[in-house]
Amino acid sequence: MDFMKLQAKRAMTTRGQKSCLVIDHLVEALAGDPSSSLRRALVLNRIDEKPGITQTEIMRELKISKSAMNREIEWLFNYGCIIRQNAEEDGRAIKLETCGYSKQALESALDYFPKKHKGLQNLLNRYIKVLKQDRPTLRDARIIATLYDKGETTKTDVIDSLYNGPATTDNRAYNKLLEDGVIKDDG
Amino acid sequence: MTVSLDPLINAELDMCCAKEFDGVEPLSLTSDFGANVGTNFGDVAQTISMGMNLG
Repeated sequence: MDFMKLQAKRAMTTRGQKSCLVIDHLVEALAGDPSSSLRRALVLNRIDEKPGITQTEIMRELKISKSAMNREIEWLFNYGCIIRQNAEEDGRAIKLETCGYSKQALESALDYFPKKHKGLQNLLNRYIKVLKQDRPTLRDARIIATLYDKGETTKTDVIDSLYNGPATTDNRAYNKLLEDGVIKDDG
Repeated sequence: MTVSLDPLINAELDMCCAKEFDGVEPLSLTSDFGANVGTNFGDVAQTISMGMNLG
């Protein structure tokens, strides 16, 4: 699709639809795993924003503990989302870069943000804030993005908008949001 | 049975999405609001009150 058509299509998309599409692209960028945390998406976004950034720099900037950071980097590397290279100036430091399918899917998400990475970072941080959980996932974010888009709908519609994962996992995520008062039903 | 987002969260997401997708800055409800639009809250209250009387 050429640039003008793409722009026209995006202009016709509502904010709610954009929110859903952004989350879908992030799920795609993170190996199709909706259980990925929003924090992991933040890490991927930061690596893409600054190719060659080191793990220590991200830890400091995003205020993530060393052990949590190690886990995220291992996961991203194992699923082919990033490459690691030894820094020339410091053999112990490892430089990180996004690559392949992950980079491509992330770019699709970034297309919706005039401020690119900074815009995506702000939206992810907002989701983390409103979800009120220790480790909110992309699945949680997709549930509230669906409700933001549709206004009022049924539980079935919300669950159907998710990623064909195990029904128990989707239901657990839905019930947790209900319990936390993030979403409300009329029952 | 229908389900919806908590209204406050909905408003918060809406402000964030307006800003990040469309570059729309949220209106500030602090003291500079009246200055920016060249009015004050007293006038607004009076106008609403007049409208209610007419209605």
